[in-house]
Amino acid sequence: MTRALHFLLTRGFKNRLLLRLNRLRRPKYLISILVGLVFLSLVFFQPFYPDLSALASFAADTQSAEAVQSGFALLLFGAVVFYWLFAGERNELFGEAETQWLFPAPISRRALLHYHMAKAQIGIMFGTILSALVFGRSFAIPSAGFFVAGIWIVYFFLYLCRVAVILLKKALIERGTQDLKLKAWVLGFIALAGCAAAAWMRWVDHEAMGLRDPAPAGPAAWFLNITGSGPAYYLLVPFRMMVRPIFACDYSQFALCLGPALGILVFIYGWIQYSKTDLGKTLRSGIAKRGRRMKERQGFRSRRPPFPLAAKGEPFVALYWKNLILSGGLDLHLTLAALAASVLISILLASASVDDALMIIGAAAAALAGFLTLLGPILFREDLRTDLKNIDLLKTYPIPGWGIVLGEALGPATVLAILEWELSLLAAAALPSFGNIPWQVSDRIFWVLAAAMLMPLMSFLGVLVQNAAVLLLPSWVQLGREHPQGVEAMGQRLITSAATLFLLLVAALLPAALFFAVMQAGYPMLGTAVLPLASLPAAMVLLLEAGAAISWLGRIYDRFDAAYE
Amino acid sequence: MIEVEGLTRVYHSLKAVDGLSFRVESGEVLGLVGPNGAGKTTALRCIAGIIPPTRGDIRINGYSILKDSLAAKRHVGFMPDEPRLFEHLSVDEHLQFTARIYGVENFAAKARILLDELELSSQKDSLPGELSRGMKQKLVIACGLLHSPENLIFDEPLTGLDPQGMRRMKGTILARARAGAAVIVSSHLLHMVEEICSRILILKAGRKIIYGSLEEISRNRVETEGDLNLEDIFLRVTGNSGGERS
Repeated sequence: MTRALHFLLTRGFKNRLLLRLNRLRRPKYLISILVGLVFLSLVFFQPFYPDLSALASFAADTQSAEAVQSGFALLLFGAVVFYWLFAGERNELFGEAETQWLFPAPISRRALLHYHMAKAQIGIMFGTILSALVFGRSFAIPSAGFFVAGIWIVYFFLYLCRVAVILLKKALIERGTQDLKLKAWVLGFIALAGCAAAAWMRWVDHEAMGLRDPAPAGPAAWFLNITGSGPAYYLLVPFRMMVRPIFACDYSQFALCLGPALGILVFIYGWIQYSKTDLGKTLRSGIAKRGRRMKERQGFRSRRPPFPLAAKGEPFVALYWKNLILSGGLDLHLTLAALAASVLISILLASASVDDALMIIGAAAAALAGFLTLLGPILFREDLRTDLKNIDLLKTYPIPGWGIVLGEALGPATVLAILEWELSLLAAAALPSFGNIPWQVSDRIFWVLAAAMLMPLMSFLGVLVQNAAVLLLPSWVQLGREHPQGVEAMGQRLITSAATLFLLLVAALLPAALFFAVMQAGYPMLGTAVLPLASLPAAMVLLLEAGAAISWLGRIYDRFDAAYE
Repeated sequence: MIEVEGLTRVYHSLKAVDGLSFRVESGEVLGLVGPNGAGKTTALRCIAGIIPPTRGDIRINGYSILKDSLAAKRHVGFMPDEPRLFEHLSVDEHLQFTARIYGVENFAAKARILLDELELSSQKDSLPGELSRGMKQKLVIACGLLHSPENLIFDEPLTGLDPQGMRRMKGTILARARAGAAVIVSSHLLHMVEEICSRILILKAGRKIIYGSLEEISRNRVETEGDLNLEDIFLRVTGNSGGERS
């Protein structure tokens, strides 16, 4: 790395640190760093840390420890698949200023890569310390030192994988491969691997067992059986090598595990270093470069409009239309649906009986629907969180504040609603009857109707809470591609997450009371048919709350002074 | 018509614009000039309704930007110096989007004319990532002109344009003014301001120091300082006489 890059890195870090210290004069930043520090100290000194002794004893067992390692390896594999599907679309390797200043300068590709790696170390180190504090207390870790070193290796591996995948994708796209086709290949490979692993379990390795009939060894052995034999074993070999150093007991074992892990790191680093892919051009520019020719040849578009936009009508619909295009709409949906389908086929093949498979699928779909209802609004961000950087443009539009808020929030709320409806349908169709709960076709329909009314409205409220945070505390919220790090950012995230959950809880109190009151009164007469009826008043209250929130946020937007934030 | 009365904008302790008043009639082109940090962009952002004034008022076609902001904004087209676009909307989709925001009737025909005028027709399916800076600037201008506003605000309109694009842009501004639009152009290109503006306002440290037609301004100076062009006047009144003619 040249002296100039070293200067840029160290001075940039120092100035950022000074800026953060300076900002502590403002109470909201001081509070957030205090909250972050309190959280870290609680984790470190454990006064309120949950009792994880059961987990620790589970991990202490040899077979379970191997299952934990396999679990970590599977997570790493998932992360790499994620990179293949999505990396580089939003975050480029180098920022705009870096591209503008560094690429025309007489700096070698190697120096630029080393600068990028050195810069990434800040995040990797912070992640390593945090993971060591959190996970180091949860598992029976043989050695803290090996654990920290192992975690650093894993994070550095993920970093190198991301860079390598972005460069490889860029090279493929520049050679004419369509972005969608690339995703289809990845999904095809996952489906093939999943099916191969599942088929192996079903027809070759007969130790596969159903969830309802666990072997004496329990779920750990079941999981080990799946990940430890046949194609799945070979697929996870490199990832297992990367996680082994974390669990090393002594120096000799650590040294033995370190060799293969470092070998993989050196291999990926070598590939990145000696590949000819231009670091300066972004993945998006590669897609854009190919885009025109592809559009002409195959009618290809990276994002499709969800519906034709008429010139007449409520102006806020234009924002809704734009956000649906930005959220990826059909393409994102197709990718997720294909991924889900490949997982479903694998589960069906791997399970001992159809009932077992349906149980897993149904439970997973229901859990995912619940997860999306509560946390989906944090993940789907194509609203004011993305558009605040365009506030100058938004402010010139002749749209009242409530229209801006409604138009912005409807986009992610719609994407979430569609996913929740699909998952509810899947859960209701797949889940077998359980205990004494009535579960005929009509019961399933009533459950789905109730979920279809309540879940999207809850997520809509969640999206509104997130947008309220943007308007009230814009400097606390991750806007666009920015990704603030550090104790202060962690504290801010903790506060906003806690406030989000608290506000959702408060918003759900009255609807929940109404729902249960109607259920109580109607269930003896109507049975499960009362579910959609009980959901109606609850949904009405949620709608009213959303309306009140939109009106209030609209007034805040109208008063919002972009110059100050 | 744009009327600005006692416009003041304060950032913390800094007065970016201080008691600014002026008026731009239909068919008039006002050139807003001043050194860096004079408050030009702040004044334009207040007039476009992006940031609220600390004191004073702005009326667009008689509508106050403070009391009736939506009606006022319907009659303004703001073209910022930095073209901000939505990254996954094509050129054509940006125009569709703008048409819906302003409820533009028969927008397809208007959009086609604008795309031809600004030489963007061949790019109508392109995403912002495929456009050069100049093309992005043209797209922002096309979106700003789509609803045929009676009041136009251009912040550095020639930035990023090639010589042909600059000539066309000047023609577009003059054509809109001739059609009855009230136009404000902020620029550091004094020869362009001299060429197309009927009135000139020089700002310094947020205050209006000169306001009038070029002839009026020159006439006032001729008696004391001889024959001066806008650049000379600008450099003298803003206190930067480094390039002053001998």
